[in-house]
Amino acid sequence: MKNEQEEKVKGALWGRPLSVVNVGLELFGTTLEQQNVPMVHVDWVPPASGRRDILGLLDELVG
Amino acid sequence: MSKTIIIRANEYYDSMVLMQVNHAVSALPGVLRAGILMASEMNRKLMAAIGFTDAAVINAQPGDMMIGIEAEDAAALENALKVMDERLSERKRAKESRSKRFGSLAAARRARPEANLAVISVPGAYAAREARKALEAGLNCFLFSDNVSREDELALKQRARELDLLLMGPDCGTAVIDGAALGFANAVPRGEVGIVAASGTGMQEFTVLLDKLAGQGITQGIGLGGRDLSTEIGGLSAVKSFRLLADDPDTKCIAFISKPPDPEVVKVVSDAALATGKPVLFCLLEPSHNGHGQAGGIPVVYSLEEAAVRVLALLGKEPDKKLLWSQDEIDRLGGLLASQLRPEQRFVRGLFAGGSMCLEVMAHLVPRMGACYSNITMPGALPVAQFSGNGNCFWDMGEDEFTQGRVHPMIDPGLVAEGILREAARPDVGVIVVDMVLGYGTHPNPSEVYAPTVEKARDIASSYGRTLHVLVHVCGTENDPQKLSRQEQRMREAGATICATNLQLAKLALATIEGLGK
Repeated sequence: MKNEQEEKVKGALWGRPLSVVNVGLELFGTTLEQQNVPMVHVDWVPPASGRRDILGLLDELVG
Repeated sequence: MSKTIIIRANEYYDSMVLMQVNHAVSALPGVLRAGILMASEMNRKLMAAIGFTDAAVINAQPGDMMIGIEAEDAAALENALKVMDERLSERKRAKESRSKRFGSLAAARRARPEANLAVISVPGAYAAREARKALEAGLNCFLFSDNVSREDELALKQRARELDLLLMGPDCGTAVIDGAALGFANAVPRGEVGIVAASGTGMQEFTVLLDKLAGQGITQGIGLGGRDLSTEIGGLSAVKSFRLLADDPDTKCIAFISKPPDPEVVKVVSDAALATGKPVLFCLLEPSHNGHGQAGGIPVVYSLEEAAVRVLALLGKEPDKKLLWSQDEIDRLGGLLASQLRPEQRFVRGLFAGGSMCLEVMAHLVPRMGACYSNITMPGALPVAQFSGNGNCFWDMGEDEFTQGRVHPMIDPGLVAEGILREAARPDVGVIVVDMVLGYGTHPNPSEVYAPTVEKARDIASSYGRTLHVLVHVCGTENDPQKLSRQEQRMREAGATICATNLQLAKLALATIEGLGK
């Protein structure tokens, strides 16, 4: 932890360079790429094909 | 006439992709109507409302894609389906060519342990679930999705506080973190001003004005979403944001931009602001007669323009006076515009893509102009119908009633353009005020829509022997992908009067109406 503090990057809100996980609209991933922001994209689809009943069960199983 | 309804099971595209495809298909020759949507509950109702319903639509699941097309004949229908599939395949190929794609947030996190922010824009019904996963994975969140319940918002923000993380949103449209535009934001330089904002286009206009008036940049622009300052949520994200800016040595002063917070939350926010130990200015978008006030010991201004001027003063900088018209200049120009109007053209119509742009204009006009009608709530303003009104009317066209099944007007200003033409035909309208919002995420070249519309609107008025003034404010910078000067130039060529700030729209409209008959 102490090392992280010492290595804080100047001008970075969280002390380290911004690095994004984009979940959802591709548009936002594309605009981050245009700005050269490190980014990975999650190909999000509705879990359990959007079946709320199955989704509830899944959440219970996973906790 | 040929019509088809097709359900493609487990074929998912995001709403923006499908709306673009829908737009392209609807515009094809011979196509009468098209609905290409994912089968969420709301979209299934929408399909029924536009005349595409059958047992398959009723039974479709949210992970299924619904296609409804009606065309003049079988050939036009076949062509529409072909174009749709070509467009969808293009998107699929573009998506698959991305090297940095993952099937889940957990997989992305494992591959990128250094990640520190999740940008989440999934449909509202799933947004809280994804945001919770992101927080538990140690990621700060920019939650663009709306339709998240208050209970979920509160629970997420409490969890973020426990984990010492920042949650921007839900319904957060704009942020600028470490110089990067998130959601809809402009290309502005880095500098010394920190921003905490509960209004997306409010932050956009403020950052644009700092740049435009004095080349001033920002450290961070932190978005909160519209509900953070409600009594229920209690400003949890605002408090965290002030702490972050307090700890940032580059932030020399802070602007807080919002509609007025609930009274119980004002103290929470002002205490957090005072605790930073830095100069803070509140910009609250509400009507005010004298233009200045204070909240919990913090100075308050009531327009984004005044906020930018005051923050520049805190940093010892002078705004570019060429861009800020004096009242004399406004009165002179207003008088000139009024001299070209007929006496009965005594009303103003405003059609806004940016919610805060509409708010700022109305906050100036409501106390000064007499009756103002709007689809947004503001003390002193009266309600207006969605597509028609009398008197001075102002529409925030990004509100839900205009965006059901459509993309936001900052991305597709088609509905705004229709509105401009509709209002141009009204004999009692002398002035139409319009905003154009540039930046990342918005329409790549909005003047290609707005300029021909303004030309046509002026032609419509002229065909009745009237002059129509269209006042336009372009919220953008030279470094935005659409380039401010290029957009303004095209609008000038179309006959629009360009206002350098959004507030000038209100001031010039007022001076024009007051100048009638003088």
